[in-house]
Amino acid sequence: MARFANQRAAWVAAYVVFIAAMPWLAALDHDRRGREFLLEFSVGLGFIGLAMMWLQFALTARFRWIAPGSGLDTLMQLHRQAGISAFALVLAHPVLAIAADDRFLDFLDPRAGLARAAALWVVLAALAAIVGSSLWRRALGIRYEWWRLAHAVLATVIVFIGLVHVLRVGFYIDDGWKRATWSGLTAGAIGLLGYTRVVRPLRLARRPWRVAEVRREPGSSWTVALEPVGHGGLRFEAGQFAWVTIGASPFSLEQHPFSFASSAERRDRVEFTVKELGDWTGRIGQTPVGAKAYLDGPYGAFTLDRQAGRAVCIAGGVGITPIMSILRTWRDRGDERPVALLYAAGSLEGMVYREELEEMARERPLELMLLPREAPPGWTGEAGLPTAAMFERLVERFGTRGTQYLVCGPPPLMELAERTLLARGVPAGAIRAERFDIV
Amino acid sequence: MPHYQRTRLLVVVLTAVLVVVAAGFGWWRSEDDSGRGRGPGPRAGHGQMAPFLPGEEDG
Repeated sequence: MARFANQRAAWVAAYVVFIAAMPWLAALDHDRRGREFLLEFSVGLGFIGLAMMWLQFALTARFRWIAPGSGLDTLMQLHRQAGISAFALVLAHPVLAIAADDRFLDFLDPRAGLARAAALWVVLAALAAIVGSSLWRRALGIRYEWWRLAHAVLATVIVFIGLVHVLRVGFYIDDGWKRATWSGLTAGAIGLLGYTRVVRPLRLARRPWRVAEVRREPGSSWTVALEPVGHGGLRFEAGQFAWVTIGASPFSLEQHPFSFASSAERRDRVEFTVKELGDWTGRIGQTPVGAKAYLDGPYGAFTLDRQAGRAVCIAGGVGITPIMSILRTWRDRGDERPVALLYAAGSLEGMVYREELEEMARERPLELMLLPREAPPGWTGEAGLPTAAMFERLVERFGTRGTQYLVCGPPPLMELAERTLLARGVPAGAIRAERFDIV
Repeated sequence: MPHYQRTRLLVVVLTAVLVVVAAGFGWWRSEDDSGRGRGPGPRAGHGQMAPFLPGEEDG
């Protein structure tokens, strides 16, 4: 845990130092006179905003070596939040420049320079579109795959125009080495996108999978089993996830993140349980057996530590999926560490894997606590929504030291669980929490 | 604090740091009343070149 904390701190420091260095690097070996504070401040923000935009490409390039102790959901959230910050800083650049000298308004006037004004208006519109479509994609009814395409195009347009702006203005970026540096970094950022969308799919194409089984599960869910075609399968850690493409080319935009539900002991057959929630997942049950599939993964840090003496899992709805993979792996490996599972779902009948979990609880050191929202007739256990008191009881029983807590489910459940566990003294490093709505 | 809020807070803090860095850059590059730059280094080119304003570049 301490190793991961140090790693995270090092990555955060590298992120800040890289971005913060850009204005100073731009001013290096520069012999023009400085200007008034507000204008130079705006220039600093512009350089910083552009550098943040570059790094946005790295955050979504799915490199496993970037902050390996952090889950991909955390990196995606960082990407989302940093995108908003970068948007604000880049926007502040022209606002402050115009506030410093209103002659900068000419930059936006087509009569003063059509190409320049058009480029700047395009980049402003692209910035607004990329942020708006990301924050309100569902509300705007934008299909995920079209949003992915638009996101990549808009991001490329933004950094490209940003580079052209920096080069054309040329106040600081006036030497050959600076032009080469800014051009190279922009090309690198766009190249990362090419790596993600072209090179990685080419690799995936060499390791195809086929749909071996599609079976209905309770609660409008389906389990899809995949088997490797012509290769040895995939090694993953229980609790991780993969980006899955089914019935389409590996270059398809139809790529969705799903947690493995199967045991990590089986590389030759992996299973995903998918709830019917959107356009694509709503049709998952119609997937024909034999359809080609591609897996980009594994990713994620939602895993059970070897050092943990016991584990307490808290699952809500389809958030049971990665936890099921952890439990199946724990069972298949003959792991004797005690595990408790609090599993909340809409109804008892709608609980995926219930029978298997009950069997596991009979045969293994698993304490199973099912929490249906509505109690069925004859139900003697608890019912209703999860409460802080329930999580407090878990901490009282299973302790704060040597126990790892794994939480996966809808955001309200996760917030309540994490907040309560932390308030009851569970160290942050002993809690693994992963959201499944990362896109 | 839940990990999502920690990440959000982290970005807010990082953004604030970067704004301060930009402000520091602005201060370092800006001129005082005498027309001289405040910061050290090879800046403030002693009037060799005029400050950049619209119309000076060809974009």
